[in-house]
Amino acid sequence: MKAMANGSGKGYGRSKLSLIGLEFKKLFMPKRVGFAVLVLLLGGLWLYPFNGLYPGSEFKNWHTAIAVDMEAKYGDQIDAAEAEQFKRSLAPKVAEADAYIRSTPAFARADLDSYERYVKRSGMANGGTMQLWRIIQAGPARDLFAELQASFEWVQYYEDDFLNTFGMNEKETKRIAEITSRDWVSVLPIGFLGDYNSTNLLNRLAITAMLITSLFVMHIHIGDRRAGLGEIQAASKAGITGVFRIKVAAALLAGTLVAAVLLVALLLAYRFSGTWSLMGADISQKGGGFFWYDMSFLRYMLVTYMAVFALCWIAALLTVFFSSIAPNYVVLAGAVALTLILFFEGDYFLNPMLNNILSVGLGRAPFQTFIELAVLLAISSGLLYIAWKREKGRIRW
Amino acid sequence: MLTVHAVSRRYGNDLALEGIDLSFENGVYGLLAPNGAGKTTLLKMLAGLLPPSEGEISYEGKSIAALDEKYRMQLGYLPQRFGYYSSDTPLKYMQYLAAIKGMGRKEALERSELLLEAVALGEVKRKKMKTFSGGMIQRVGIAQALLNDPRVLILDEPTGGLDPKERARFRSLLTKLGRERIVILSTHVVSDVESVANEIVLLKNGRVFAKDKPEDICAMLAGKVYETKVPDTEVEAFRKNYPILAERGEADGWQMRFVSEREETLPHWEPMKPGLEDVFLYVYRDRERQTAEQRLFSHEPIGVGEGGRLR
Repeated sequence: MKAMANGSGKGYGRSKLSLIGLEFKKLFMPKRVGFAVLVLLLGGLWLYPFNGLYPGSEFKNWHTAIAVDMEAKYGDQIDAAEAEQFKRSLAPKVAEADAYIRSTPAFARADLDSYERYVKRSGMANGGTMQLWRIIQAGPARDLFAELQASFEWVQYYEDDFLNTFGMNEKETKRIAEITSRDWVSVLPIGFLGDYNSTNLLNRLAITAMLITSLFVMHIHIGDRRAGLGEIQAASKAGITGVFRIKVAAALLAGTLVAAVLLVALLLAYRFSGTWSLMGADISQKGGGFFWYDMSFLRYMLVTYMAVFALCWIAALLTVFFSSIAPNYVVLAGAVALTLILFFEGDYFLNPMLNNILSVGLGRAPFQTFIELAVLLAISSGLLYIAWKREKGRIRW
Repeated sequence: MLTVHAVSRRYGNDLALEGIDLSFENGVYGLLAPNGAGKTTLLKMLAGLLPPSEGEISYEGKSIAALDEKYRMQLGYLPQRFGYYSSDTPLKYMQYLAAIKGMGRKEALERSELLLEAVALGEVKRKKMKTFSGGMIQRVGIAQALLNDPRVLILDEPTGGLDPKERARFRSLLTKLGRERIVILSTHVVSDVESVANEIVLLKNGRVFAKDKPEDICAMLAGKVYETKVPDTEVEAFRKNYPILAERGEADGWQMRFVSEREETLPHWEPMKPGLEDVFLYVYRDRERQTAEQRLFSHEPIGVGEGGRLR
């Protein structure tokens, strides 16, 4: 047994790491990376919510633009005095709009001589302002009117104290009272959180990340099996169990990398969208959009993005399982596609899990999403046991 | 020492191997049997890939199942059909296998390059294996089996695809390797093991038929192998009466090499020194000839005594 004691066991920890690296490199073969890039490009079809961050000058998001200005002037918490100051700052712009209305004959023909009257008329059914709106859109005051509209919507949002707590429990009502009793509101613009949350960016990123992870991991067992590496792997120091573990580690690493790359893309998208100054603003808003915890938008993104990491791990583990049990690539592709469709389509998994994470009063417990993800991870890991038994059994025949 | 004790292996209701007792010390062992005789099953069990249905295989006195990873650290294995990615270079392939054998990166690179040189693939170590001939692929397989400098080297049909020159080089390599490790190779090509094996193991009907030095195996047919010329008119009758080892058609009849179990011989029969190939052909000849074989060797596995040694 002397030979065993002196065997080539030195540096096995390092070799395990290098083995994970080798398996990992096998997953990221150039042709597969190319295919993933193609999927990402086609993914533009479902990544369109990024548009919200880059609407362009033609479709400028005035709510966000105003919030960025307010943050620069008042910081990310707007108190009563700052809100009043903001309202007062609108007066010169209203005067400018009044001047435009008076100098435009179409408004005179409609018996309108001020911005205030134009807004009131616009709110009426059959107010007859559609033609006037078209004139504004085609003229030099287009941005002025859009900015004023968004500004007064913010004022309305700030002044509106209506709160619907119907059906909420005591804990939820208490948390909402805690938020609404603040002497400030978050500068975060209306709809900003919804563009990220709900079924928009987070959901689409999760779909993309899961799809790309599965594409990379699909090959992991079936590739070696088709190449006929099983017996040599089984007779090696690592053995079937060691190789299986290393493959699982490589698959999880692949999922982590895919999720991390998309997270970087997400952060870069926000960084260069001109809205980065809003990242520190609190996520709970006035009159709706309440959250269990006080946290900045950036932190909320990072916390909720953990779900994408978990979903990538789930996709990686499920794909490892399918790659092990599928008899050929056609069955494998079908099984992976069906599983992902089950995740993506309908309201079974992704939508309920990713919508309203940590929201108060929307029918979900604070950590429900993370518990659901943990259960799915546990199920996926359980399926690996079947795959492992299968791999062990396969070598015996 | 690698010991096989009372090992049997079943596949469902089929008994592939039964009551195998063998022991191996440093040296080269040729496992000789026709296809389907259970060579691969035995080698898979020796490599720890297949658990015996009954019995135990032990290395240095401990069960290889219990030794698990520690045994595999001492093992080099070339399966009958070994796998590889055709888009890999031999060097990359060897480094991957070195990693699963637990070798560090630097050691793996050095050893891979050394071994590829040893099997005359040094110049193509960075070429994709899809451009390789069958012989080159087989040499990569042999090299990979040696990566971890194994104490037990198991090679299943290692010479398939090798040309005569490569076979000669391989035999020379085996002789060197067998000095300080157990080398077990299976083959149905007698010449692969005749000159290099310290011992030959013959498997038949799932059992060990014989295990001994090549010359002692050959001695089983001592005084029974002859050559003679047989006219065309008598050749069919001759074939029915004697186990034929080789025959060659000539202008004036057939030159026949055969086994005769009779004590009396005919004057024109030329006695020949039996070779391993003669034994192989005789032992594994068609079933119709088994009656004669039973007369010669009785029902017991020939020559297998304690520890698989020839009696």
